[in-house]
Amino acid sequence: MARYILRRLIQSIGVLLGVTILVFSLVQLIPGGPALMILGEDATAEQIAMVNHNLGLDRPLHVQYLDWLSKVCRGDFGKSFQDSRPILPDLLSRMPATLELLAAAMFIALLIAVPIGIASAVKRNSLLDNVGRVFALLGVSMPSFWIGLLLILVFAKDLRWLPSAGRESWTGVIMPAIALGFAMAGILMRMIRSSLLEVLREDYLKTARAKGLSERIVILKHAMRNAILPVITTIALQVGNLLGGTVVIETVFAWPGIGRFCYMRMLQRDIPTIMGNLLLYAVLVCILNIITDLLYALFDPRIRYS
Amino acid sequence: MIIDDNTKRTMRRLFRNPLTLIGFILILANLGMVLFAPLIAPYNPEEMHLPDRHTAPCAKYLLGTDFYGRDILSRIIYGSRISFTLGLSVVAGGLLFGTTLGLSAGYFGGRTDSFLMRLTDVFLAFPQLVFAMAIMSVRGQGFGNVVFALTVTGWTAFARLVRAEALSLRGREFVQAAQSLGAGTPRILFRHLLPNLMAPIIVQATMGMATPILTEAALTFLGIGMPPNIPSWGGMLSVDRDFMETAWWSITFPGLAIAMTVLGFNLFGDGLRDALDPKLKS
Repeated sequence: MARYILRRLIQSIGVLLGVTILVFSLVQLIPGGPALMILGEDATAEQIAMVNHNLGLDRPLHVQYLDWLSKVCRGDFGKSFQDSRPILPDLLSRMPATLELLAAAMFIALLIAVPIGIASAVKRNSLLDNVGRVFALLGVSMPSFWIGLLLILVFAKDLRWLPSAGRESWTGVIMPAIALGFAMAGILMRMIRSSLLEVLREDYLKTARAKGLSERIVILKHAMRNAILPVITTIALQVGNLLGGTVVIETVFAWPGIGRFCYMRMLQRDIPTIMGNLLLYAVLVCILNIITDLLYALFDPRIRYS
Repeated sequence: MIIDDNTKRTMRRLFRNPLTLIGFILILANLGMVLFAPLIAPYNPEEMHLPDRHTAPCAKYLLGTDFYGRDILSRIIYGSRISFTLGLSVVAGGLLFGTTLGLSAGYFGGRTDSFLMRLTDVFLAFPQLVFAMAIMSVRGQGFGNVVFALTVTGWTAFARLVRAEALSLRGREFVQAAQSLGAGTPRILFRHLLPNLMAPIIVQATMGMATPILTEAALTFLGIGMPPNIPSWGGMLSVDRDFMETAWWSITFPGLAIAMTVLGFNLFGDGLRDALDPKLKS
C-alpha cells in the first residue's frame, strides 16, 4: 500500500509540473503581451519595454518560468495587478466557502442519485426506472446557472423561503448546492444504475440469496460493494467539473468563495490572480484524485496488492 | 443509394427506442432553426420595440420580449446558430486533435503512450469551465476565441477514448496483415485502425456536442463568451437575470432552449451508443 501511495504521489508531481508549464503559457496567449494589456493600445514602444523590464518579461522564457516556479513552490503566487496584494492568502481565505459549497453539492448529488440509481437498477425497465433515467438525462442537460436562476425565482423571490444570495445563514447553501449538484446527481444516477446492473448478473449474488440473505442485504452489502468502484471513479472525474461549476454558481448566488473572487479578477484581466487560481484548482483536483485512488485501493484489494 | 442490411439493422435498433426518437426530433428541430432562421423568425432578433419592453407571452410575441423589447422567440431561433455551429466546431477540433493523439498513443504504446497520456492528465487537472474562462479572459470575447478555448479544454475525451480502443485493436490480425504488407504508419493509423473506431467516435462526437453548448452558454452568461450584440442563449439569460421577478419568461425560455438542445444530443447519443456498439450498452 505504501509503495502504491508513493507511486501515485510521484505521478501527481509530474502532472503538477505539466500544469505549471500550461499555466505559465497562459501569459503567452495575451494578444500583444501583458505590457500592452496593462498600458492599453496607445502605449509607446519605450513604455512597453519599461513595463516588460519591470515585470522581468524581457528575460528568456525558461528563466522567467523557473523564477516563477521557484516562487510558486515557496507559496509565493505573486501579487495582484489590481490591488498589489499577495494572491495566495486572498485565495486561501475564500477556500472554506468553496469547499463548503462543494461538499454540500456532493451531498445533494448522492442524496438524489443513490436511492434512485439503486431503485432504477433493481426495478429495471419499470416506470420508476424510466422516470429515473429521464430525470438523470434532464439533470445533465440543464445548465446549472439556469437551475440556479429558476430556484431563486421560485424559492427566494416568489415563496421567500430561502435567501437568494450570500452565506450569512446556513440556509444560504441549500439552493447553490442543489443547482450545482443536480447535474452530478444525473451522472451518478446513470453510473450507479449501469454499474449495479452489471453486478446483479454475477453468480455470487445467487449464492448470497441461496444462503437466505434478505434482498436488502444482498443489494446493499454484496452488490453495492462491487458496484461502488466505477461510481468512485465517476465521482473523481466529476469533482473537477463540480469545482469548475462553483465559479458560475458562486456568481449567481453571490457566494463568497474562490470562484466568484476569480471571476471578478478575470473580468479585470488580473493575470497573476488568474494564474494563481488555475494553479490552485489544479492542485485541488490532483489532491482529490489521489484521495479517490486511495479510496479505490481501500475498496479493491486487487489494486492494493498489485 | 443502396443501404446494406447491417445499416438497416442499426437504423432499426436506433429508432426502436422512443427516447432516441425524441432526441432525433429535438436535434432536427434545432437544425431547422439553424438553417431556416430568417424564414421562421417572426422578427429581426436585434430589432428593439422599446414600448413593448418585457411584454409577457402573447399573440404578437409568442414567447414575450426582453428588457430592450426584442422578440425572445426570434432571438432563440437565431441563437441556435451560435450554439450549433460552435458545438460542431469544437467537436471537429477535438476530433482532429484528440483522435490523432489518441491513435498515436494507442498504436505506438510505450513511451509515446506514456507521454501523451500524461499530457492528457495535465489538461484534465483543470476544471474545464475555469480553464476556458481563463483563456477567454486573456484572449477576449468572440466566436473564434470561444472555439479555441473549448477545443483546448475538450480534446482529452476523444484522445482517451480513441487511445483505449486503438490499444485493444493494435495486435489484431488486420493490423498485422497491413504491417506485413509494408503499409506505412499513417496508412495503418488512418486507413486501417481509424475506420474500425468509428462507432465509439460517432457516439462521442454526438454526446460531445452537449458540453460546448453548455459551456458557451455559461461563458456568455458570465459576460466573457460571445459579444453582447450577437444573439446567443447564454447572453439572453445574462441580459434579463436582474428582471426575472417581473419577466419570468425572459429567463425561462432561453434556458429551456439550451436544456432541450443538450437533451436532444444526450438522448440521441445514448441511442446511438446502444445501436452501434452493443457492448457499451449500459
